Amino acid sequence: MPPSIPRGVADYFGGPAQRRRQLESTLRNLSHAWGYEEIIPPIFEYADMLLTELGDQTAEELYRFFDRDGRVLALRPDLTVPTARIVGSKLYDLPLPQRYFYAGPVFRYEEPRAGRQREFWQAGVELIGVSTPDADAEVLALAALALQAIGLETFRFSLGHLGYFHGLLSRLRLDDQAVDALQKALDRKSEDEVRALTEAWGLRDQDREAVLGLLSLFGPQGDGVLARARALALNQQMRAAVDRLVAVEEQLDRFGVKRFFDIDLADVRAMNYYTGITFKAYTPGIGFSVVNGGRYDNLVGEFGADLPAVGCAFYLDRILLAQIRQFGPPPDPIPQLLVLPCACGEHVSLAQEARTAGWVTAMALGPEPLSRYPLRVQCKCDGQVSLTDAGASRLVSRESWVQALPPLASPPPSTFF
Amino acid sequence: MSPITIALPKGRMAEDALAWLTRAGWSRPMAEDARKLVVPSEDGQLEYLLVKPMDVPVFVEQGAADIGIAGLDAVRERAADVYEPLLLPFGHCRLSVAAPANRPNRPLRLEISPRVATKYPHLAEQYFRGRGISAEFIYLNGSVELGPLVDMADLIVDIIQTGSTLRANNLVELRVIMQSQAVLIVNRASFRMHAEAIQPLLRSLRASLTAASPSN
Repeated sequence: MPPSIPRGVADYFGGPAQRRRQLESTLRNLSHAWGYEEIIPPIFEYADMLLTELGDQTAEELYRFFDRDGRVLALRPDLTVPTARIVGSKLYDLPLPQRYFYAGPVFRYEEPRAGRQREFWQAGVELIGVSTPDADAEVLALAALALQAIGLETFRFSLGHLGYFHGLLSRLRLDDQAVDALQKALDRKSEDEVRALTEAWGLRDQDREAVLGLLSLFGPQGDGVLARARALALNQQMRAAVDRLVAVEEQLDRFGVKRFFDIDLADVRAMNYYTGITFKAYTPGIGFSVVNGGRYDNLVGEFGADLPAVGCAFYLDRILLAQIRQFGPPPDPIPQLLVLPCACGEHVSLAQEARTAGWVTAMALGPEPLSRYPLRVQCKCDGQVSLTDAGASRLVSRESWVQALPPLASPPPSTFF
Repeated sequence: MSPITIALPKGRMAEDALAWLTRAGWSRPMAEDARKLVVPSEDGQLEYLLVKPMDVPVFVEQGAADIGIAGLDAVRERAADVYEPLLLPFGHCRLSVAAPANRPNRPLRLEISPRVATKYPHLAEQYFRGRGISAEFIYLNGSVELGPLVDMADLIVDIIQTGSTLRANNLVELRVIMQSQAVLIVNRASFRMHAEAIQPLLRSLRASLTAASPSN
């Protein structure tokens, strides 16, 4: 019997393992090019640190355990809260804005399904210390350009603003249970459910119209969604949310990525800590968002300095799955060049020379099936080496053999970035 | 562009569903070999999948279908993470707890480890655990009413339409867990990726529902 593994974890190897690292490094390189530098929080922390008042919705999903002093530790359920802790408590007086990139595994105890394991990989960026629409747009544009750089051809973002919903709630004065029910119904986009709720609460006409109207505030930019949203707005908070989205849109246009964004003001399922814009990205092949993000102006302050922030996380496993469904499984990595042993021992030098020249080179140790390696080289111990390329062999000079190799095909990572 | 795929529940609900979709102007599936599970629509713009009612939410959540018509009971049982833009006026029923008619008349909360036969393990467990009752669930694929008759179960959790099956098997309904009816569901990614194709379909269906509703 092979050893079993717990629910919700997966072994990665071969092409998918390589592809997942490539995804990560593409995102890291792109973020670096935008001035985002790596931050590496610990994998576990004190549970109460991860359970701020603003982040408590993940409480049930937290992997918790005791340390030897009996204190409760937890595996991180995302990387935004640890980043906020580090910045709020340690880095608050460094020059602003601060831009961070992170990547690593996170853990949530939820029912595993396609692309949703209990251990999964996130990469993400956080932009801290600026509350302007331009900061929102920077993160949004980075996210859209990152999905392009990763090689996804079709994807769409939905962009909302929690201020619009919160403004509406402040007007309705519902209790927590009612808010929860409304949020669920909006998340399902169930018009009947939303209508039933508004009727049960006996809302006034104008309020009811605004609640029901939320579901129609969806569509591509330039579709008049924001104009309709402004017409339905009942107070300053709701109008401010619309103004913000208009300003963000203008900046997205300058980045040339506006066409990727739909407005959706009924998308109210988000982490509790979000305060402003929220967004999600979708791509064919997977029914959940592959990027989640938004503005969280109160979270850093939970840990010390009150700093506005905006950021997003890429779900690497989901992106990988979507890529596999769209383009087929990634090929297993095979060394580009195989060096066969020879009597004089020169083969060790041959391998090193090829590696220096940029070839992914393996030295044959015995069990290799030769047909797996289309390009092979063997020292003849007489100043010549034999080069086999797709079945055809020829002799070339030992001195200039590397130049005699076919042009070096770019390694897979460059196809992504 | 590839056709929009619609998952329909095999059986009685498929007929109701097709009647409503046709009335709304959606292209009907071509009349083909009844054993075929994937059927293109007459105009080639849509593709219909015929699947088990309980599996419709899974096909839609996974994106194998963009749109589905399912019972709310199935959507909740499979805990499908999908959009539910439209309730449809058929497939009305309720998910209930039932017991043999000769069960002593006492509250459910006094039960200790009752054996519950059901096709709905997720909803049944949620219901009992939510009331602090640690029931033992016996998962069956059909003929759930048989459970108490052969003394394999003390209670059942099952769908009730008219109640005649219950009566025929000498069972009585104790509690309603949820009301159910047909609902149109949409894959979350498809809703955005194919908005230009899906939105008109939803609008036409919504319009024909409104026109037919007795309150108008």
